[in-house]
Order: sequence, then structure tokens, then C-alpha cells
Amino acid sequence: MRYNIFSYNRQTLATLLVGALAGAGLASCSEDTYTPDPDRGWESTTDVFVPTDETGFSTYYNPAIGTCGDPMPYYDQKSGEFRILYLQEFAQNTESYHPMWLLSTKDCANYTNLGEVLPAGAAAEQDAGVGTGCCVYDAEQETYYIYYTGHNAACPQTEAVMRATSTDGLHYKKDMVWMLKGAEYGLSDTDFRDPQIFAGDDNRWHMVVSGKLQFAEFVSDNLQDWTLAESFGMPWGRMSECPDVFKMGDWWYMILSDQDKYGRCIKYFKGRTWAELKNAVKNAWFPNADEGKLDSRGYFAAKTAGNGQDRYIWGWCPIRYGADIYAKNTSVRDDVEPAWAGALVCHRIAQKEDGQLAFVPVPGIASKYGKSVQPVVVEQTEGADFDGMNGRISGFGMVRFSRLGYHNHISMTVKTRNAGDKFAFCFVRGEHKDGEENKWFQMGFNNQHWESGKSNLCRVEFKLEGNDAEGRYFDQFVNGALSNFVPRPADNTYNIDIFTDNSVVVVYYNNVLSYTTRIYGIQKNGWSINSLGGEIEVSDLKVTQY
Amino acid sequence: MSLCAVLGAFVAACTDNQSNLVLSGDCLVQEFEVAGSGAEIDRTAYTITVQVPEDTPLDDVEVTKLVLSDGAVADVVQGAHLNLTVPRAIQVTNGSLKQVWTVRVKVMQTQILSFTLGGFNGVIDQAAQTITVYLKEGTDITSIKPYITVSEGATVDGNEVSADFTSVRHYIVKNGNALRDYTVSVVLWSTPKALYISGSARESELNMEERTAYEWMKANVPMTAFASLRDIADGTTSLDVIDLIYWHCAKDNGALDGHDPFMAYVANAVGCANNMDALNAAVFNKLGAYYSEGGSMLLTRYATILPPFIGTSIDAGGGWMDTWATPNNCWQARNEDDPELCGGPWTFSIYGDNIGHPLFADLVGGGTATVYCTDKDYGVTNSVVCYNHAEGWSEYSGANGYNHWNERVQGRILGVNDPGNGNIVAWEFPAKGGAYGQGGIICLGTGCFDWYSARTGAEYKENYHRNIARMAGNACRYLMGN
Repeated sequence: MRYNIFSYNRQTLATLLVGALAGAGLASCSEDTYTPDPDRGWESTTDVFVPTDETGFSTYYNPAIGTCGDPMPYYDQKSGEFRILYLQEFAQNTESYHPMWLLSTKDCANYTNLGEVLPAGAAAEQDAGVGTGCCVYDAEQETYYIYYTGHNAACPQTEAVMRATSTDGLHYKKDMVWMLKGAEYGLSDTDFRDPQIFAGDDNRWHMVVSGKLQFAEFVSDNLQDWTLAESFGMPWGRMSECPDVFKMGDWWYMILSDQDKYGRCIKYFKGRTWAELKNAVKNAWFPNADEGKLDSRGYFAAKTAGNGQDRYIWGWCPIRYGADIYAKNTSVRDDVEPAWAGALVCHRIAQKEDGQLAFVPVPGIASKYGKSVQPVVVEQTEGADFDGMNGRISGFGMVRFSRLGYHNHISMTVKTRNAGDKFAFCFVRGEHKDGEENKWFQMGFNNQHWESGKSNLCRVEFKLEGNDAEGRYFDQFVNGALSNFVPRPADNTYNIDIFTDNSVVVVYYNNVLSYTTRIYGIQKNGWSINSLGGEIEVSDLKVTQY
Repeated sequence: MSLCAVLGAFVAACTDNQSNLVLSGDCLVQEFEVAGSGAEIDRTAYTITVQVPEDTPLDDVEVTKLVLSDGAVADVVQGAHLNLTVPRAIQVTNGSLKQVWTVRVKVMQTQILSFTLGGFNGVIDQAAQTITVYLKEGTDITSIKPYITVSEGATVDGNEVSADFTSVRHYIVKNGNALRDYTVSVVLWSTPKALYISGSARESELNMEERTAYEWMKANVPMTAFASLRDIADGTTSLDVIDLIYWHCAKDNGALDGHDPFMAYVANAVGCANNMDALNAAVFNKLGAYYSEGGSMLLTRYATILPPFIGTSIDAGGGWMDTWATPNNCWQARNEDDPELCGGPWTFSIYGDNIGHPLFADLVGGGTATVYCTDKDYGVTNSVVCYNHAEGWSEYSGANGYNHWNERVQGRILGVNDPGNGNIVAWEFPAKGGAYGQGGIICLGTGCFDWYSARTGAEYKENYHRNIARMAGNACRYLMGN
């Protein structure tokens, strides 16, 4: 029978202790007459609950133990699946750390963990710390190659590019001889990492490596012997890592992760040719209005893979530390990212006619959230007129809904009356105990920013809001949890999708915005739609779960 | 259910539960070799240290021997190739046991660093593994004792053992199982290729500062002989086959303060009248001809006043030798037997973009614009010869001072006494009508360039002072085109 150990009453506990004294096996043999706690009144209550994340996330993948470091996705033609190598991060790494583990997925929404495929080296070896790389398959040789970073400050060079080979993509043998060292090419021996290989239009293999403030490009005809072609500067002379180079349609792209303290995020560049793309990178010719930024500070080390039809991108959304959910959600600042590694978040990549890129929802994820849940309105304030799926909210009105689940897909259309009418979604909403601060998190759509040249752009902002014990309003803007700027819809209509998997939250609208972040405590708590002074019309509100 | 029954059940379970762990074997590496070189195997730290000769290419070496304890297997097998420029791990398993061994390389240095015979240092060609010692004709080389220094940890047979050098000899340096065979030959010479010159008439009359410089040159510049200015003046010593002249002119009781005192000093040394015609006829024309025909010179301290007298600086308007392009500020603070103790290392600064100049190669504390010359408590006379750059001092002062120096003196400034500014204390001239380097002249007038200390303080410990000999060696190689 099923019971909850925390439901034992005092008498039960005493009995259990007596049993334990007599013999460990006794308790399980005694007749169990206990009943579980009554179910929590999820539907009938609106007080704040403090949930914890599940052990392991299946959509925005997080292993049961530890977290996902840099992903290295590739499309495996032999299995017809996407495969994602990632650096396995543990809360407490040993001297040998970040072994590569392998995931497989067909729909980019459900993953199978195929286990460790490339162990970290011993403490003294160059690859005691395994760093990012890539996997390429040579069909002629029927060989998988992992080119990766060996990181060990105790070696003559802190970083070197190393490789391993496999015939099945699961069992790899490290090359104990070959090693690419930056110093041998007049490049850095401390920053020389993240090799990324692609087939060029010239029918040669190209490998891009992140050196010290410059990328190095090597070329090969056989995926084994490499020669330096050139080095070219990183945009704005800022250290960028995890480069990914790919061709999509008529455009070549590089996606990189900018390590700058304040500008930390992934960026992209485009060019009609690989040569033009390199020029764009070294001259910082940005392809969009926000310095080529994509997504947010909560999405890093992302790389792509395409199956010939669609291209997807995987990056990690960092975990955040804090004493409670409020500390966690406000711990991210604009000059410090609190953690390395997190949950694996996948987007589909959309390409516009002019070559600009955007991240859009993954169809497989939308399908996965198949259980429809009727959102129940638990509160409407002045200015709100809502019938459950549609309605109008004006001024600072708000509609509050019943609790979310652990995995939610919230979708709706929001139309603002005026271009600059702002609105928000608030999460972790509910009544706190008497005498406590009443607080929640606001995800606001700032569609008329004060910065010059950004008045026609929109970004999502994040803050802690609340009322203190005396009912006085307060808020705390969270600098590091912003999305990048994207175009504001010309017709003031936002088709919004919000996906959550435990604390990971991904927001999209109109195939222009993607915003990956964390909201700890979002599960099993209420949420609201808020007008922020103007007027909005909400339609087709749906919540689905799994 | 009774307590006994429960305990009994546990006992039974323990008895029935046979472990499948296989723990009987060892995971030992008993023998290990790469490229034929053996290894020290530490069974406590589980490390394997392979000793290889220094010329072993480490990026691809074959494991030529791997012997494990009975029943053990490793993820590296005999015949495998490893890149041992970095440490490597070998996992040895035996049944249920596993042990990780770390393989490191220790490069066994086997170089002869110096080989001295009869007070003369041999010229060592490390690549060819040859050593040539140049000894004066008449030296008895049938039984002569070599003094050899070798790499740390290495040994060499025959050190300080008298031997017959009438034919080539071999000296083998060993370090672990690495060895290097040097071929040593002696060349007896009768005609010198290099001269150490002096105002003193004989070697025995050199003061200690000059003598120390001479001893260094004799030991380190092959086929060096001594010649006085008088020897040159009267033709006793011909300059016809000489490639290099070194003159370190030092004296006590006051500096040779520029043009006139220098003329008087030379006139006295060669025994001629103190006027230009007489000096030209006696010695300056001979040294001028030597310079014009490609001979090179290293001139230090008061000898740096010489170049304008032998044709380095030609008046742009008239085309005559500008003998007044001599240094314009010289001084001596103390006599040799009563030196000034340095409060810390004395330095001068490399001027302009000359950090990579061969003169400054491989200096202790090198690689920056600062040249360290002495150490704390080293005793110096503080004898300086310079072109003073201080505001209002002379034509070489002020914002355009260096440009004026270039135009008038017609050399290249190498060192100044203050970073980026200050008095010109090191300079050079190109070969006559040619380029800098072979056939040119290097002048070091800085008071830091001091060979000998009659007295040092309690805290003296040589560190930077070896840079004097290194700079002298650099200059000699540079001027001889090596």
C-alpha cells in the first residue's frame, strides 16, 4: 500500500521506533492502518505554495543528477535522430570534470540519455577538464569525430584541441597522439578552445577555434590533418566562445557566446559567403537592431543542428542560487551570471527573407503539452472584464488565474489599444500569510523603451513586485533577466506562447521574440495578466500541460 | 516473529551472499619504456616517469615496452603511440580492480655548458656537438686538464683529468640513460684574430678594471691577443688580419673628460706630441684605416671617446672628420679601491625600439627596457662617459637633442640613463659606409658597465652583474657577424 512517511502521527512514530529497536524488518511486517494526508486543495485555495523542481526535466532537459553544460548537437544520419553531446556538470566536480554525455531526440521535446561517451582525462592529463567541441561524421570513413577542448592549467598549455573517434557514435577512442596547440601557430595557449567544424562551399572541412580575442580557422581535406588558414578578430575585441558556423538557405551564419560581463549572451552574424561572414564578425557588422543578440542572458553556449529541413538550437538556461525562490529569481545581475550550466533549452530557428534569424517554438514541444486545462479566474480587479478565455483589461487592472502545473503551455493573443500600451504576466501569485510581505514576479512587455532608437522595439523585463506588511507597494528590477530587443508588432498584436518546465520559462511572440529565463516557484501557484496603464484585449487564452 | 529469528535471517543472508568482486590480482605497471627509454615507476604515487634524451620528439612516441602484473590489462598497449608533450594516464584493470597511472616525461639534459682548456673557453656548437678550443701556439697540449660544466643532473667522464689534445677527443655526457657525445678539438694559433688594446704598455700593467675585461675576452673570444696603443703605433702589432678590437679604457684619479683629455691620454700612451697631426700619424690613422676596411670595435668607458677621431662623424658641410663630436660629459666619482656601494641594482634604459637589439639578448631580467648591470652592495667607481641631454647643457639637450645627436654624431642611440629620456650612455656606429653590426662600433659609456669591484658590501650577491659579460659577448658576436 502507498503511504507518506510524513503522515505518521506521534503514536505511529513511537511504534516505528520500538520496531526499529527490535529488528529492522519488523515494521514492514506489521499491519499498516495509516492514511495519507488529505490532498492539498489546489483548486479551492489561492495561498502561496513553495514548490521545488522535479528531479530531472524532460522537456528542457536536465539530468537527474547535476546539470547540462555546453551542448554540442548534430543530426545523426544513421539513426535519423538529433544527438546532443553535453558537458555533464556536477554540483561538486572532481579534478577530472565535464565528461561528455550524449542525448538523443527525434522531436526535440523528449530525450533519451545514452550515457557518458567521452570521459574526462585523469587529473594530470590535458583533458582533465573537457571543454566544448563538436561532433562530425565522415560518411566515407564511416567515422564519427569528436573534436573537443582539453583544459588543464597544470599542462604546458592551459587549452588545446583534442579529438576522439568512433564507428558507432557511442563508443569513442581518444587520439593519444594528435593535439592542436595555439602556441604552435603563434596563438594563445591559455585561450584555445571550442573547436567547431563545418563543410565549406569549397568542399573542404573548416574548423573554427576560439583563441584569445580572435578566432582561428583551420582547414582540412580529410578531417585529420589541419592547417591554419587565418585568424580573425572577435567582434568589438570581446572574448567570444562556443562558435557555431552553419549555412541556412543562401546565408552563412556564425552564432557565438559573448563572455562580456555586461553583454553576456549569444549573438549571431550573417554573410552571403563564409568570407563575407568572417568580415561581418571581425568588423562587428550586426544583423539586427540589438547588436546581433538573440534571446536573453538566461541562454548561453548555444549551438545548432539541422536535419536538412529544420534547424534547431540548444543552449543552457543556468540554474540560479538563493536561500529561497525570491532570492533565486533575483540573484541574476547584469554583471554576474550566478551559475555555469543548467537545463537544455531547444528552439527552432526561423529565417526571414533578409537573412535575419529568430527563435520560435519547437512543434514537438507544443504537441507534448497536450492536456488542456481550463484556466479559472480567481480574481478580477477594476478595469478587467474577462470571461475565462477572452476579455479586456485597462488601466492597472488585472485578471488572476488558478494555479499552474509543473509543465505548462500558456498561449493567447494580446492586442494593445495603443502601440505603447504595456502589459505583463505575473507569476508566483497568491496570498501570503498575515503579516508577511505579499510578493510576486512580473514579466513585463516594455514596448516603448526610453532609449534612443529603441522606441519601436520591445523587450521583456523582469522584476519582483509586492506589498509590504503595511500594504505599501515595492518593486525590484532584475537587471540580468531581460530579453533582447525585437521589433514591436506593427498591428499591436502579440501572439504569445509561454512554455514552462519546472523553473525554466520560455516566452515567444510573433516569431520574433524568444526569452529564456528561470522563475523558481512558478509551479503550483497562481498567475495573472496585467495591464500597465493602457488597455489590452486578450483572446484565445489556453493552458495545456502534460 | 522473535528477535532471534530476525537475527538468524540476517546471518543466513550474509552467508549466502557471495561477492562477485574479483580482488585477487594487482594493477601494477612493472616495466615501461617509450622510444627505448626506460622509466622510473613509483608504485606509491602510481606515476611513471620516462627519462628521454632532450632531442626526443615527444609529440609521437611509441610505447616500446609495457609489462603489467599477472592478469592485468591496460588501455594503452605495447606499440601504441602517445603524445607525451603532456602527461598521459594509463588505466590498468585486473578483475574488479582498476588503477590509473600517470605517465610523465623527464627530459634528461645532457649539454656541455662550458669547456675550458688552459684558461680558454671552447666554442660550443650544441647542434653539431662539437667544441673547438683556440690555444696559443706553443701551449703544451699533450697533457692538459679540461674544466667542464654540464647540465643539471648530468655527469661527464674526464672532467679535470689531464689528457692529450693533439688529436680530437670525445667527451660523453650522461644523464640517466640519455647521453650526448661531444667532439673536442684544439686549434693552435699564432696570428690573432682579435685584439684587446690598452693605453698600458704591457699586459702586466693593466689596472684591475681593464685586466678583468681582458681576462674575460681572452677566455671567450677565440684567438685574442693583447696590444698596447704603442704596439699599434709602432707597427709591432699589425691590424691587417684583425676582425675585432676591444678597448676598455679605465683609470683612477679623475675622468678622461672628453676631447682634449683623451688626446693627451693617447699621446702619452704612444709617446707622441699632443696634437692632431702627431696623433693621427701615430695611431688614429691606423685605427681609422682598420675601421674603414671593415674592422669592428667594442669600446667601453673612456674608449668611447675614440670614434670621432677615426672617422665615424663627418661634418655635413665640409666633409671633414668632426673630432669634436665626442661625448661631452664624463666623470669619475670614486677610485677603484674606494668604490661606491650600489644601494640596489644599477640600470640603464634601452632607447627607442631597441629591446630586440642583439646587444641585449638573454640578459638576466631582460625582455624589458631596463638593463640591469650591478647588484646591491657591488662597488663601482661610477665612471661615466655620455652625451648629456639635460636641459640647457649642450646641443644634445632638449626636445631636439637626440635628433641633433643623430645628425652630428651619426650613430644610433641604444641606451639612455633615464627611461625614454636622459643622457646618452650607449650607442653604436655602422660599418664605414655600411650597415650596423659586422664592422661597426659599439660604445658603452654607462657607469653601470663595470667589470671589477675591489670591494663589495655584506649583502652583495651576483645576479645581474653577469650581464656585463653577456653584453660584451653579445657585442662581440654582433660585431663579428655571428
